[in-house]
Amino acid sequence: MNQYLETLSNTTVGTVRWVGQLITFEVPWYQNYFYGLILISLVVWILELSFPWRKNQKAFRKDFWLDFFYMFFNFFIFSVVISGFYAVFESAMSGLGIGMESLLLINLSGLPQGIQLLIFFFLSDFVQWVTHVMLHRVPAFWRFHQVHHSVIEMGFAAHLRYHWMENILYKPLKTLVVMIIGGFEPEQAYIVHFVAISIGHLNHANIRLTYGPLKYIVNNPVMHLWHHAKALPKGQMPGVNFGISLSLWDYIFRTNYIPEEKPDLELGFDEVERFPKSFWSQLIYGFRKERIGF
Amino acid sequence: MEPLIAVEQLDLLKERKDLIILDARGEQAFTKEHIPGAANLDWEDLIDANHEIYGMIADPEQFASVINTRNLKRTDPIVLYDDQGGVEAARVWWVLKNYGFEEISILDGGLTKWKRSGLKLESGPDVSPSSGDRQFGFKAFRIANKEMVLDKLDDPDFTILDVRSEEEYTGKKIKSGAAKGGRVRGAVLIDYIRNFDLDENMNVIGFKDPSVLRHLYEKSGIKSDQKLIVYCHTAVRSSLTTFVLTELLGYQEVYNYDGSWREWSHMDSALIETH
Repeated sequence: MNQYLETLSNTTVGTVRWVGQLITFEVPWYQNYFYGLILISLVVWILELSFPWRKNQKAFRKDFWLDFFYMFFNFFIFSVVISGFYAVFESAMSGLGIGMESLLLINLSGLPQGIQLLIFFFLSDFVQWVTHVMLHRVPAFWRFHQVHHSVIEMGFAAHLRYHWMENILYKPLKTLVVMIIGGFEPEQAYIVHFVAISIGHLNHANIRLTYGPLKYIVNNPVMHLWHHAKALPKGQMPGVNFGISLSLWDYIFRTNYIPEEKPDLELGFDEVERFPKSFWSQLIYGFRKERIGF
Repeated sequence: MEPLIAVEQLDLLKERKDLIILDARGEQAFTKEHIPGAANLDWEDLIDANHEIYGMIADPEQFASVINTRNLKRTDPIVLYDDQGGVEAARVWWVLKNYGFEEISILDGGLTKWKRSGLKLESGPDVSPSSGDRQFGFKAFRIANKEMVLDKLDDPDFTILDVRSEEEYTGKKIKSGAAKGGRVRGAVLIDYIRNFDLDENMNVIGFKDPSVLRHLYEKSGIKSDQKLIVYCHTAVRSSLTTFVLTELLGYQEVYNYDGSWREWSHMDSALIETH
């Protein structure tokens, strides 16, 4: 028990230090998640302001600051808190003899870096796509995922408005993928990370983008807006366009739906007006008993 | 007791030891603030958990298990309230009447009016007294089922009254739990919200005056000798209209269709209208 408490506190302190190192630029810019996030956010925001799809949308749209807070909470505050628990879990698993190589099925280590990254990217995106479908289909998960879908006015920062409980589902499944493909994340995994953030920011941005023929492979704001539609035809429930970075899986599994390009699509979900509005009340919403209402 | 009780009256009466004040809202809302001395009886706890349709009235066993935690008996004088003008309170009223409870009033204006009148509130979880061990037999009170609606659909003596919003009535809005949008064939619309006086933010101030209410229904062709089957989505709003028609306006033959649109939306399209 003591060793677990020690692991918990050591790792937590370690993560706090790491975040500090990010902020003080001790970590070089190309691996710096903190400044990388800020930079990507600024770039996308300027693009939104320069080429807005919804012309009447304000620069500081509805809930802009809420989303701003979520961005940093989910990326940094939460990772500090959770890092200790992940380390304890890893430690417990290794006590059972389960390590990162235990599920090795496809060994990527012999392949060129670029191919490694590509496979890693595609596989982890697919697993996240599946996880996302579950967030919509399983009622208990949906109550947490509703935080993300409570966005009424869409802008880049909405990308990171989500409940931290989603990580509890995403992380283990992503880890499973990493275990299957060789038990390690490619050295340049941060490249995939920054690409994913950029695509994700753009998917939620107020910009009209489809990437031409690439729309069948890469997710884009025109497609992703339909994922956030408040009302979908009955046949399309419980959702469409589940893609994270790639739209590919939606086309393969026929969950794609883009009847038209519609910037002013009504967003949210049934009775989103009654969903709690503050960070804290959104946080506890999923943990409470569900009242169906009349 | 009168069917409606004013906030000032309740303020005076609440010291009465035998008077039970029940808050029909959810636990979270109750804990945040409630009328001093009130106990919590969430309408969502008085539903049949085993029925495929959400929101059907609890069976005798389920009913007793919830009611006994509040140690309530049929003869208790009860005042019900919520913060939406009385709609959740009316649902609890209707369920209690179906199990033979005798003396029930609804607080006119509910918690909203209580607060507006500057009266004190309490907060904290429900601390009800020791539990009871009673059994309650079901005694059908103003209740309709699917078979009755089917039977009376084309009966000229019966009017089917839809109390939802116009969007739901036309089928434009489909609330979750329904198979499709629309209304019971031949139903007439009088939105339950029209039973209330509203402020500029569309919040309920209180029930309209009975003479105004009478005019509202008669103008829509629903006279007091009419036989009615009332419904909405979950039979909560229709409980409110049932309360208004029977307790405030003296209508005799009013039946609350418990399955309401959640159930009827699964029927054959020949029995459904839209637009």
